[in-house]
Amino acid sequence: MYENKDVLLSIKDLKVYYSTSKGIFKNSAGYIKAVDGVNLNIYRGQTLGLVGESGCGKTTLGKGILKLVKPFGGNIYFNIDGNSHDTINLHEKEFRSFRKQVQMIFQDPYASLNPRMTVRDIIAEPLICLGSMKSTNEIDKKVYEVAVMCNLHPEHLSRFPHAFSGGQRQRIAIARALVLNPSFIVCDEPVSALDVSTQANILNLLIKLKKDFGLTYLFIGHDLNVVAYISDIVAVMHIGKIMEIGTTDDIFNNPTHPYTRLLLRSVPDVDKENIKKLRMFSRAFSEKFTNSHGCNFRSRCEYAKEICNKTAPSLRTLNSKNEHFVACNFAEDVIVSEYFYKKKAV
Amino acid sequence: MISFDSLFQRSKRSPSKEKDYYAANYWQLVWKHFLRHKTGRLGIFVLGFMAFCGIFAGFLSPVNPNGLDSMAILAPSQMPRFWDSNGFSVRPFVYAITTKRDPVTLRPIAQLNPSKRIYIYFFVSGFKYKILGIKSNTHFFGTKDGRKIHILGTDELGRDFFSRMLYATGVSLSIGATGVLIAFVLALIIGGISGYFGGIVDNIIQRLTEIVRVIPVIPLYMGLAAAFPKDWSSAQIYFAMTLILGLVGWPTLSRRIRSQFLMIKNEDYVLAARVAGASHKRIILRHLLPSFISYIIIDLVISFPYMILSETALSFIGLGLRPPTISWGVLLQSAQSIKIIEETPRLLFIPAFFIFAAILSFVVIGDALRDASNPYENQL
Ligand SMILES: Nc1ncnc2c1ncn2[C@@H]1O[C@H](COP(=O)(O)OP(=O)(O)O)[C@@H](O)[C@H]1O
Ligand code: SF4
Ligand SMILES: [Mg+2]
Repeated sequence: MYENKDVLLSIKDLKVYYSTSKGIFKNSAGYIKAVDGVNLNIYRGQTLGLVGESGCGKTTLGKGILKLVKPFGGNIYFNIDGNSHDTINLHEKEFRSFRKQVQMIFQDPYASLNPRMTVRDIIAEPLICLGSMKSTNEIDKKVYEVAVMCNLHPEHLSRFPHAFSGGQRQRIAIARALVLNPSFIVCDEPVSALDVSTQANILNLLIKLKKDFGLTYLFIGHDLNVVAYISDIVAVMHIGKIMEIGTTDDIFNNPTHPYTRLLLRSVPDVDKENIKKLRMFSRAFSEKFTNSHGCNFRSRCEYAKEICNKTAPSLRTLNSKNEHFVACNFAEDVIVSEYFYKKKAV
Repeated sequence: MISFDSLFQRSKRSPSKEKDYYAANYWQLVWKHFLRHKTGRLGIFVLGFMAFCGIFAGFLSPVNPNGLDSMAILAPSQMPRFWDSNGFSVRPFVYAITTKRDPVTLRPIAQLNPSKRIYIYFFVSGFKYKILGIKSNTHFFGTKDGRKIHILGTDELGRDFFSRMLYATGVSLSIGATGVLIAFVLALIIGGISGYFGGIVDNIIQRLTEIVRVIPVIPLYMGLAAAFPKDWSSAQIYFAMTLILGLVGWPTLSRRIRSQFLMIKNEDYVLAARVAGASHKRIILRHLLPSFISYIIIDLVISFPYMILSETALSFIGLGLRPPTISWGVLLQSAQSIKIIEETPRLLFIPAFFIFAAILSFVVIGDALRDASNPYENQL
């Protein structure tokens, strides 16, 4: 994919399973395949948007990249300093050198800041743990610098998180992610917990920081408008698998996978109470598909045919530019029907 | 949650106070919330008073708590007074006790003699005692001539009940505290390892904990207590008792500490600390422990009554502390006979009331702490 560009991070067949084993001796093994064979390339300086319903494994994929969850299989290659490193089997100690390069912004700014620490201590934590600075003065200076960059008032540094609104908290989280000058940041739905007026604020801050520091983002979201606004490339995920990937333009103007089209039609408006339901729904799905072959979207797909029960479609390209990939056995039919659909509408 | 806007609006009224609030750390907030709790304040006051009595028992008691007084068996309480039919006195006094014999049973009967006054003096010297390692013989109040006064009367051996209550309060509270402390240290280590590392380690530790938990407590207490050699000194028995209480008490606490670890170790801010490259040690000390130390304190406060009750129960059935050590349980045990309940019910009811008050205080403090421990959710 996009071979001429500079790949920062290459994920090959990544699998992250959560065990659901029960019983005293954990004998009844079961898995939730939260991420089930994902292949992705993330290009330096670009923003990859990752969309999908709640519970489809987006956060798990992000956590997998940062080794916050144990992967079940696959490879994650970091291309840093001209070398490609497979980090999947590294121990925490060996992974430390990558920690400086990859940071994360969490979804809920009310949960991701330790309420017992001052803002200064929160932002300084990566510096203290991974940085080369030793003196408190140096650390203070750097924290101050980053805080100002993230539009935080220096006076706020001595306060505790309870003094701040969601948007301000997310700025603090951004400052923490930025303080080590990383090259890659996983943004896990960084604005979905904020109200609309603050959302634009934070998004613009992220865009500005990306420009200023040449950052690369994996931007996770379920709000399609937000993802379209910030992303260069968009990947659509459904129950642990990537269904379609292409430029933002391709995905939003020329959706080819039936699931993408469903998403775009419904523009899911997932509020907090629904998340639980959806989770249970997708958990039921992922358990159901644990030992099954075939396309995991088939039970909701209007194009499904017999073969979809047997053969799992893999990502394949449809256009000559090699930029738009889709995992569907009948992608061509979808395009055709889309064509007629549009014609009728006209 | 506290919204910034609501804080901001209030900040117009008192900017400096709001600034304090922003910069207030967790414990300052908890303390502020705690103080708003009336019952919690009352509990603190009652326990503080008891702890004071217990610590300064030697100084506060006018009479040696184990001193026998054959001339005042089951004496009535000699309440200090300032006036009576014979006139007013600036110096408080009590009526002296005279002992007559019952004409039928020939038993000695101690009675107050309103015609004889004993004046009370302050900071007088009396029997020797030790407080926190400091030896002294000065007492807060007493008599000049060494005559004994019994504010709450005496028991069937003529021992001063007031002094015995003071000493018992100290012993019972301290035994509870030591027991809780031992249980807590064990629980923190065992539950902490179990919860933080999880997996097989957790599994093994939990099975072992369950084994300890299913041993019925009363027979275990009895077995252990009966195993005390008869020739042990009261200090040794005291120490062994705290150890037993601690050893029996840890599994419940350890379970809760484990579940706290399990719950908090997957909180986003702990994950964020891992992303920041924090070591296990830093995560445990900077993130995990501070987050649930308040819950642990609540647990400790709530498990206090169990310790005190266990001690009381054991001593009551004669398996715990033994005289000359004095505890609430020992006092109750010596007040078991029908005769005492009939003639001098205060020997039973005063310690019982103290136990009741102490336990209730612990419960209301625990309650108030629980409310206060989450200061970010309820605004001040
Ligand atoms: N710690 C966990 N243990 C077990 N299952 C989990 C855990 N975290 C997430 N899951 C499950 O994995 C699936 C993917 O979750 P997640 O990655 O959080 O989805 P998303 O971020 O897309 O909403 C869901 O079905 C969820 O229930
Ligand atoms: S592979 Fe079959 S079931 Fe899956 S999306 Fe395509 S048509 Fe639908
Ligand atoms: Mg998520």
